[in-house]
Amino acid sequence: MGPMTDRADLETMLARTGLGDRDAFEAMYNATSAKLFGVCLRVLKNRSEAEDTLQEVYLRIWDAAVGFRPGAASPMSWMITIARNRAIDRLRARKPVTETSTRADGTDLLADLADDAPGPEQVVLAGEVRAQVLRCFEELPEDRAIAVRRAYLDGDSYADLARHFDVPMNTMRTWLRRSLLKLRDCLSR
Amino acid sequence: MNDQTTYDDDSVLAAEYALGLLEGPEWQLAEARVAEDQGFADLVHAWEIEFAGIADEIAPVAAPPRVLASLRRDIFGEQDRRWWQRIGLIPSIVGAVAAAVLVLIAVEFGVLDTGRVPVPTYQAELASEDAELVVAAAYLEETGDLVIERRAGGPRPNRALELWLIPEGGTPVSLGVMPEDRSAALTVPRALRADLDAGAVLAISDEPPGGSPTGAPTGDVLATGPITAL
Repeated sequence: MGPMTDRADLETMLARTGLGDRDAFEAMYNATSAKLFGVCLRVLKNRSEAEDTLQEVYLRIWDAAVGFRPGAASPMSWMITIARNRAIDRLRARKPVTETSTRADGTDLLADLADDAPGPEQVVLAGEVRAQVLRCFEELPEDRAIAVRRAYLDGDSYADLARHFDVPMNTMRTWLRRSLLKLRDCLSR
Repeated sequence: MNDQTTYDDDSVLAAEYALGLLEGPEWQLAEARVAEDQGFADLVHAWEIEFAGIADEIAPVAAPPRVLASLRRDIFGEQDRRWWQRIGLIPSIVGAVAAAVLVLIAVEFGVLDTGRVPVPTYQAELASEDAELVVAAAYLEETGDLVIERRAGGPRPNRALELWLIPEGGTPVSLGVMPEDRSAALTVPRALRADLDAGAVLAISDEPPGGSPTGAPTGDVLATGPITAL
């Protein structure tokens, strides 16, 4: 395992990036790009679109780094948010198409994508606690957690989820709003 | 649970907005609140940071090097420097030697994604009596790229420079005519790569435009350099 970059390192890199330090920016890119590329690929399921999006994400990070406030958020969560939101925007800008990670021949596109090994200097999150939101998902009925994941990673709206779960839209809203309240209570514990 | 309370709850609305569940007028109202109401914007941001934990389940995938190259251009206005220009190994070896010099360095690969400076593993030097031509070369084993850089001199008028590999105990095999650019990369044919090793020699000869018509050096040999391990 290569040298690890921890949260404090990333905060320093982001702070220096905010001051226009290109070496810090590149170090941060080397430490985080595989994770963010994974996020873009997961959302878009298209390599060339994910590459374009990744580039936009780091341009955004370069511009926004000066406004990053350590303490309010972990730098990785902050960057993941930028990547996810950018990828979702791009996903929605597409013409509506039926998307699935399963190809016509039944093989899983995402399984192939995950074959690429991350660079040796990528941020290692091992040892950090499992994200609280994932632990809180375990307190939700399984299909509600799936619905939240679909909204976050596949850009599903209430209307999309209602279609997917084959329930009326108002039922979907009621389900999810209750689940989001439960999630909030769990997260604040 | 009282659903009416639920629906009025700003925190839940913030979560719905952060997840992108809302559409149409509902989305527009929430969007407007984010812009106008800092307290609501903070709620949205707090949810976004929590939801980012979902990405823990996503495996990292190495991004292709061209993304960083594009970023360098976009952010720093930098031309896309090739790897041999970035590693800067050639000047440090050749320096100001006042002679024709041919240097071969094989560099370890694995450097393009990280931008780290590679470690040379081979080097060869030769000084000829002729000080007109100074050429340096670097060899990247993984890709078979042989990078050559003319640091002084060039072909004679209406003539070309041709690069040769002379395997240990063998006869010269052409690696091609040196391009007019001061630095460029040639791809060494796969069959020859095993010969590009310590004990072999690189040579440059003076040839007609387009290179030797016979497949063997026909003009003056201007520089040669043996390859030795560092």
